[in-house]
Amino acid sequence: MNDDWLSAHLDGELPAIEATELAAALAEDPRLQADYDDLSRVRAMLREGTVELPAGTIERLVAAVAADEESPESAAAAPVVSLVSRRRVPTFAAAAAAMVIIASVVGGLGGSTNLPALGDLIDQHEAAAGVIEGAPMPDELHDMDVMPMEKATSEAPPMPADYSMEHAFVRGRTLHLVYRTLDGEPVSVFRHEGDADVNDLGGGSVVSSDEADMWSAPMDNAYVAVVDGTGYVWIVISAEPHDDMMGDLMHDLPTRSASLGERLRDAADAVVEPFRL
Amino acid sequence: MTGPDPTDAAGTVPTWDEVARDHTRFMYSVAYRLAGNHSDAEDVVQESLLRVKRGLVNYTPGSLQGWLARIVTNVFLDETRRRKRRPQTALPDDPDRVIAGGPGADEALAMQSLPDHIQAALAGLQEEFRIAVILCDVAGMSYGEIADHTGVPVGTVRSRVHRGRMRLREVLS
Repeated sequence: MNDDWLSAHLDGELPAIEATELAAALAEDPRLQADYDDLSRVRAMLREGTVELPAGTIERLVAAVAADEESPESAAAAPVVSLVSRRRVPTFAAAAAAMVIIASVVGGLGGSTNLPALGDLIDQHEAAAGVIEGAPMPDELHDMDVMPMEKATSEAPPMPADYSMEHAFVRGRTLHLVYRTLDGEPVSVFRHEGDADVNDLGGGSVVSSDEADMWSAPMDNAYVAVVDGTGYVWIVISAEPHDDMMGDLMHDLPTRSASLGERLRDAADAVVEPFRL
Repeated sequence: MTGPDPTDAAGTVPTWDEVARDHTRFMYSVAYRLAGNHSDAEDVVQESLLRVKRGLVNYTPGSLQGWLARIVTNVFLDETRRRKRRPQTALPDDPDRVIAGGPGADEALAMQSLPDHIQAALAGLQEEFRIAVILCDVAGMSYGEIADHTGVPVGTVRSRVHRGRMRLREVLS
């Protein structure tokens, strides 16, 4: 038996056959029973423990959100940006103005709750970029399964011929394809099963066509584009210091390219083009 | 804290006012256990409430608390990822973090129902273990729901929940 059977049994997540085996083991092994009892105590403590709030906290938080949404300022501009810039306190004790500006973008990225946290995807992109450069596999990629290249190629969208696929990972509903351009720049393309409302992402540029909507924005040292396709959400990430490059090019995409694959190519081109100049 | 989710039976989409009135405390509990302090928890809840307000139109009736916990966790992860890339500020989830000194008045108030050493141990867990334990024991999510949200296999969730609890158990013993 595995150690984690103890917790799984406490949570009612252990299959019946294994539960029977565990019950027999517990009856025969007092130390195992003691472990089980300790874990049960920890679990109960966490489940029954409550957080006592300072008086008025909830009312203050709810009022702040309600007031922000109702203000003319927020109605006229991207609302997520306005909320963060007028927060009760600087978010997470952010000190620098530049950090607040970035927070205004990052802060809007949970609007489509089907999406993985985009901060996580940026970390995965950066980790994959390090692997391309020869770094050992970092923690961000340890939990991902490596997909055979042949299968990854069949799953990939059409990409420019000068993009070589270097790695492919899969975790849950998300496929992560890592490309390298001729210039050596890493580009990550994530395919996530599901849908997203790019208009909820806030803080970036949104372009729409009959086929898909696309959102893009600079985040930290990366550029991020989110395309809401049919059944899939595509996220393209690459590092690039030209803050408005992606956003500007996004506006041309509906007329420049009709297919999702071409749009992805344009998105990737937008990221790496400055390196070619 | 992890009692029945009232919207499961009703199968209706609540209004934002209803969520704010009935579930902000739940969201705060999840946020506080994740962040480890009131200031960050308030930021997480405030941002989460905004996302809830915008996301309710897309909400499919089901486990409302599970949905809310996912939003809170996403907000927390977005913020901590950003801070990781800017290490000049202290991170709540640093595995080597030492809880220095006694808790402030707010923290002491919040810890009344959870022993200090458990709360500190929870804050000191590696992020993946802490999130798994909190989603399971604070948010009341099943392993399958946690796996779907975090994008890891159910077996990994099971292992993380167990290893997280074992770390907490070491503190108790």
